[in-house]
Amino acid sequence: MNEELAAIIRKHLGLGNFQLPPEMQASEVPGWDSMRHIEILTAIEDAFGIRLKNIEVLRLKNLGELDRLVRTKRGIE
Amino acid sequence: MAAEADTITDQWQSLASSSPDREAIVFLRADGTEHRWTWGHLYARARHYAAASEASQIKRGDVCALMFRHHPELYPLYMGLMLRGAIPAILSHPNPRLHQDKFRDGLSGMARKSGLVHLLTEREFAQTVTPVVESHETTLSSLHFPLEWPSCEPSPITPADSEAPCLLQHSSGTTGLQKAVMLSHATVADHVERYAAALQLTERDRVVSWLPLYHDMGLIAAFHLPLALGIPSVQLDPFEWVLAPELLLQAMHRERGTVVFQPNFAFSHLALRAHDDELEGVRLDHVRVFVNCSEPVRAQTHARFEARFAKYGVRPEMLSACYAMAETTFAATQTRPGTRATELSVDREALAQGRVIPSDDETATTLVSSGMPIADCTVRVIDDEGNPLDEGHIGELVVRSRSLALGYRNDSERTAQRFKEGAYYTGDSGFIWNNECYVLGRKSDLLIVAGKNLFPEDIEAVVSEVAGVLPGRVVAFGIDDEALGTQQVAIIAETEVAKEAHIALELAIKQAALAIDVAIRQVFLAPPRWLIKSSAGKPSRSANRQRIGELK
Repeated sequence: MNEELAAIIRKHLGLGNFQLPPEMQASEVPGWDSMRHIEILTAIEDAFGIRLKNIEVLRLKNLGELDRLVRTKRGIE
Repeated sequence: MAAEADTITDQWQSLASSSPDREAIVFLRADGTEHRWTWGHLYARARHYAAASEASQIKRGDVCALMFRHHPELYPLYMGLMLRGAIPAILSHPNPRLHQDKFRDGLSGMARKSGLVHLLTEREFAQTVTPVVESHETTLSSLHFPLEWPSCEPSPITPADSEAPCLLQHSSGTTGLQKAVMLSHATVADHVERYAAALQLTERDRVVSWLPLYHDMGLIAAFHLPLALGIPSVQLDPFEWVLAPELLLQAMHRERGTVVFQPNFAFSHLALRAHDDELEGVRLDHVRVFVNCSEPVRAQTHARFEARFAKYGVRPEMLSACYAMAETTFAATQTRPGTRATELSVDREALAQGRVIPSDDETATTLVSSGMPIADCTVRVIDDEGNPLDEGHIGELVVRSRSLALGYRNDSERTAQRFKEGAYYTGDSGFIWNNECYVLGRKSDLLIVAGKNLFPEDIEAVVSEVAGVLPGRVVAFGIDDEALGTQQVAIIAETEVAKEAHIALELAIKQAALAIDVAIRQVFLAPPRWLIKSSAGKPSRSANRQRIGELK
């Protein structure tokens, strides 16, 4: 899991140094409810200058897959 | 005179035989999967479930809890149980966020209070629900997996008595504390007919909905109403919708949807989160009404929605509002279709003192009307002593309706408090102006978050148990989220832990609340004896909420 991405999620949800392993699902992250979900995506989009479509994110199973999608969009992998 | 002897099941049978090829329900998923139920197929499938439920020892009059995710078979299963003469009750299903034990506690409480006899669910939830069904104390006698039932030859349908109960629905709220109302065939059939008239529905209408069927708006307005009238409904997955709200507008475009019911927050959610690049080619010119219902309607939300989607064809007159509750089957009032819901600017200070004084001052607040009562329904306003109040005075809204439930099931105490002499005492605060009803919110401390009622007591009890929080020294309340057009949950908790440990404690509190599926937006930690008590000796929610500025 990219540390920069993890830091954005932690900061946005006020999670201190809470661990975010790749197999964790959004529903297991404290405070990550459906209302906060899209705010977090917007924060990620702004930080990396990318665009994540709602429908692309809907298909993701866990944080690891989000990480991969963000990397692909940034042209890292 | 009550409704004609017609039952809901008779209506379905006649639609299935007169228009077997007409579309009844269109089931959609975000991945493009669709299932288009015609009346012929839907009714035949419902008859399979009626026969299979009989073979599974489900008897007439048994209350059957249904717990399913978005699935095309849920509709004929629900209908089949009604054809059988059993009483379906749709419940929310376990989700990964909710702690299994908490879910089970809620389900056993609900089973006892609502008198649930059978639980019908998907195999995936077996592990979660089996302990509840096997417990000695429960009213639940058996667990069924109807998606695995072998196909059954249809057996003869015993005609239903129109006065017999046909369904059980729960008031919105935290699982386990929801109140159950039983409704008869005649009540539901008559109600949907009168509400359809208020909406001026015609054969050309199509309802599109993302609402869950365990909510009265989803069940009565977006499912029973179109089904009884023989107009199609398009059903989306609520969990997919909330993550990708554009799915609703895409479906409205593609399926030529004309009617949508949703709570206020959904209008804001769409305006904020459905982006233009997700709406290419979408047109909404053909829509008749967007009905805003289930939480107080906000003027700012309507203005934002209208401005955001004008370029897609949304016009001001499409914005409509309704006041509804499970206890009156569904609707009590509805604004006139084809006319934008009336707005009223009033003096903010006078409003706080319980009076309505129109004002065009800059500091005025704008309220949105929920319309006039539907046929055979009246709404009046009373003060704390029960005296009637004139127009323009704020008090409790009392609804008298032909669609009133007989009371809460197995709860004579609450029934006696709320149902009196043919009227329902709503606990909502509001007023009447020019014969139209304005709903301001709850009289009590109840929170309404995204259309769902939350009891602060539940949240306080869970937070109280977190290590580091002083037991009983917690208050939960709603804070306004203007952007989302709803309330968010905030808590103040007293603690003795050192400042350095505050972040960890806040996290533990948020995690504890997740176990009851409540997302706390803000945690304020306070030193011991900070919270002000009310006269009853408990920390006062409203008084302490006023003081959160001191904690920042």
